[in-house]
Amino acid sequence: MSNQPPQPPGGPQGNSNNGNSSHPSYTPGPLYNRRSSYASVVAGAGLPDPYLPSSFQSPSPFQAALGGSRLSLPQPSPSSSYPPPNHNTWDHTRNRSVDMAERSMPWHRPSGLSTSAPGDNANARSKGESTGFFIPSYLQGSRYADKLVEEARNRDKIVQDTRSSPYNSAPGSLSTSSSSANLQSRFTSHRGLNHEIVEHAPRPVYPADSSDNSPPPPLPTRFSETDRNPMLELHNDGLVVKLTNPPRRTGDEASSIRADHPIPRMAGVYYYEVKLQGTSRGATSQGYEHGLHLLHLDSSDAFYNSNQGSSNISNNRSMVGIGFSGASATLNRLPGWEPNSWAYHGDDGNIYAARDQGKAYGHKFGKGDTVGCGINFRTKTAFFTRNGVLCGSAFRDIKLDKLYPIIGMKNQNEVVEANFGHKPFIFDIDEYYNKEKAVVMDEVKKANTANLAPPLTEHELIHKLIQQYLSHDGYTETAKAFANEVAKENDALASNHDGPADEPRKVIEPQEDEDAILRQKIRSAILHGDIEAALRLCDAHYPAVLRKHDLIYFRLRCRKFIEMVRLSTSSTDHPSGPSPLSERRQGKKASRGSGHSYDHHGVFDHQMELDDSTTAPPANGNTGAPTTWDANTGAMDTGAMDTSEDAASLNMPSDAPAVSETDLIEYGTNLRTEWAADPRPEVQRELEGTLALMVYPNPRESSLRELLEDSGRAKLAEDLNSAILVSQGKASSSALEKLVQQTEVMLADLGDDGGPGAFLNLRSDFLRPE
Amino acid sequence: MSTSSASVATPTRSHFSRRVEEVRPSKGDINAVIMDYLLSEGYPDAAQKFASEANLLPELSIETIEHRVEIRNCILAGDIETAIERINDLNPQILDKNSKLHFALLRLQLVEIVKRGDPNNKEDLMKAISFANKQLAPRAKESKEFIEDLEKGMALIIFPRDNLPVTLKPLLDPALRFDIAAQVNEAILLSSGSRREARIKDLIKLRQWSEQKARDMKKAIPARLSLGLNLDDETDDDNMNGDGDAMVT
Repeated sequence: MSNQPPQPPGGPQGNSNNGNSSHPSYTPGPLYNRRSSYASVVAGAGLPDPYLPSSFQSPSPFQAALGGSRLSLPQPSPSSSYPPPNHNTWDHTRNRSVDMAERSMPWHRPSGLSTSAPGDNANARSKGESTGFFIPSYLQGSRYADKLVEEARNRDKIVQDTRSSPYNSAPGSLSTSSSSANLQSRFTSHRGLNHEIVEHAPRPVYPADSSDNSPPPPLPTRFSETDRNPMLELHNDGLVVKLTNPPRRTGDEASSIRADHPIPRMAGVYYYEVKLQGTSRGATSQGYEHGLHLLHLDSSDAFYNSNQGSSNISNNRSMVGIGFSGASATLNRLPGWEPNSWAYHGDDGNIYAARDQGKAYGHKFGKGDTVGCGINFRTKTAFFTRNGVLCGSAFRDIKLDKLYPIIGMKNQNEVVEANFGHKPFIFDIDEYYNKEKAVVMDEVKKANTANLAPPLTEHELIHKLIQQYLSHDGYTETAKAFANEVAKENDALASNHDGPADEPRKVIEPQEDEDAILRQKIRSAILHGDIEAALRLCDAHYPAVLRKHDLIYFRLRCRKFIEMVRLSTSSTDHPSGPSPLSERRQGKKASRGSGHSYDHHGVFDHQMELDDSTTAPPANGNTGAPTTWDANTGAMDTGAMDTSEDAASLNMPSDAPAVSETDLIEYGTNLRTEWAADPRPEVQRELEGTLALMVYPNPRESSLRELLEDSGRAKLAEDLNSAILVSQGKASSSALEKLVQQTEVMLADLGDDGGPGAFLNLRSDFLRPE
Repeated sequence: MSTSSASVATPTRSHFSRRVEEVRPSKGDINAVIMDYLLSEGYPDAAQKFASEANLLPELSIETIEHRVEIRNCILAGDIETAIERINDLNPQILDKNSKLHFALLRLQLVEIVKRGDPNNKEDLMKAISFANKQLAPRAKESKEFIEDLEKGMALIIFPRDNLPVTLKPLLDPALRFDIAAQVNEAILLSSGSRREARIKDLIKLRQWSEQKARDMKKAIPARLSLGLNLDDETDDDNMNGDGDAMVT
């Protein structure tokens, strides 16, 4: 096979590799417009060699749109959002704000596929399907996409282990290291936004597929090298198919090819498009003009309305069939004619459902047309589109398993280019998907929760869930405040009834729980980075827990080291310097209440009167309501939640003793001695990673900087909290978490087969919407 | 974790609860849901404490809650007049643009007037009727629904309190105040550009929907799916009696 498309004979040399052509992502493009860029694809296709697909010719259709000359491309401007070059991009997942901003982008392209110019250095692309990871636009943010991203992320982690690369956050630093230059070509993008796909990676919240932890089924990414009629030639990393010199064909013989993977039902909706480049015969100049012609027409929506299938391209038809089939359908005939295959044919505009007899369906199609094929697994229907217009439902009650995108063709030199979602579609499949999703969402919103937990009303149920969560997880102060406020609410309700207000009030008293308070103390210590205090408390009150969960103990010890590293570097390196936004934001988030005066001994010892104005004295009003209030920053008292210091603060007790290098080395050495013999690979890996922090003069900019983030504290705090709960014979998760867990499992059941659950993402649609 | 062990004795039940346990929602997400509720439904004190205890920054400033809390408490206490004043102080557009809500509030006010009054006192009766005439009748023309609602409100005046027809009972139920208070809260939130309902409400709906749907579609889930809230006491022992025993077949 050849991954390298042939140089067009006699084609303009502008095509050969030059500095810019391998980095098409520099087009600091303004807004992207579907239709016009489609037009430019066509135009680009026409330029040097009319019958080869656009992507053969031009490193990027978008460049072609920018005036046609790749030599005059604008250089990357420092302000353009050129992505960090490497797998470091995963770390941006932490940056929620970016995540949200990018989520609204209509189109995401994660990494380089094959739009690079011919002659692009070959090792920048790997073979076959490993060329790149992408999520089609319409699936962005879906449950399935999250799983794909997470799996890719795990894979990436493995890669990351074997390399260590400097982190370059500044756009200007791209050319400074050879490794980034390399990666640059590996991660090319035509939109200068190639990192955003990873922005969508959720934190590994719902590990793998909850049904059996198997990786999610892959998306079709290209045509198969093996699953094809031998007359078909593959180009451009398997995205372009050309039919070469078939022997004299008899009757309905044809050549077909399937994609590399079956269509994943879990996606809910699947869609791909095919652009017909026509046959090459005698097409040179004509094809060029044809391309321009289309450009002209396509640039206006009117084309779709007024000229659809009319005179302009009315004689435009090809013996091409586009659709889907099972793995067994023969590849010697057009799809649709054979058992187990369904397709839309260009020569007659008919659809064929596994039989020779077609059914009138849509317009004929041919050279220059883009035809799309979609399957809706929820409704078990299939549809086609032509040049961006939906042609209507084609098949219903289709069999759903193991269907492959398939195309077949009959004419010599027919060239067809597929888009499996690695670049924008002509048809607005995003809108289609969103409509489907809205249908399911509406159903959810109409759910009647009255019978979820009788006799509780929804209102009461919510209060109960929250109250139980707060108590369970040891947010004792919040639990009290909430109970009081709810009581006040009920008081208000009762106050106006005739008669004395001595009716039974629905006050949910939070349980007074020594354990809860202790657990909150321990959590608080960890959240503030005071691992030593947490260990002391644990040792005093729950000695068995750490013995039993020595992995948690080990991680606490590692965390202590990490906190020491943070302390030792914070004095020399102010975090507001080059530290990535994500970390600053993390710091901002987590520093609430940490301020300067954190004192783990004092936190719960101070007594403070509850504020009369907002708190009706509860029965337990004078149990001394321990509070963290005064132990926290003074800002709290003024009610100004938005403290100014937090952005800069790295959630570090500023009066903490400085950590010298000697301390660090000493502690690190002890840590290693203690755990070096542990047989568990994860222990060894984490130990290595932690200790490696020592190597970097500035760990905050190292590839390990992730370890320094506050999120590690939270994770550890929760793990320990759960372990303590279990040791006390209590459920490790609260009712609210249980509810989330159950829901996630049921959604998997409802979505893995493409059912309604496929359209819902518990995390991004419900827990963290927007 | 595709353990191929032979523990297939009670495959589906343990399978389901094991899968449930394998899902690990992040505390950050759950905390965000809690904070969202405290802020949007107006529990400023708890929100402040939670911000501190869980190390969170609230997304809304606490002050904006307080107006809403005040208004809510007015409504819950049946002081609709003050509530309407406060709402208009905050933003007169809220009620101007939402005639349905405005009407609902006024009718609640009528109900409160009737409730407060002595049914045998003619003056009290007149007060209620005059309020209905002045405030409700002109607006009722807007829709048939309004007229019906108004009629029900007037019927309250006529029937003896301890012998109300079933259709009128809901008018005296405290839940009506809750309901309207929630609607007002939502309207204020919307007017200030904030989001819709609290996330936890959607979450609960999703839980309900997915269970219902899973049963409809004959998915293998336990016959009874406990919420883990033991309603008799606070302890959560759903590990013991939780995920049901029998399977739906």
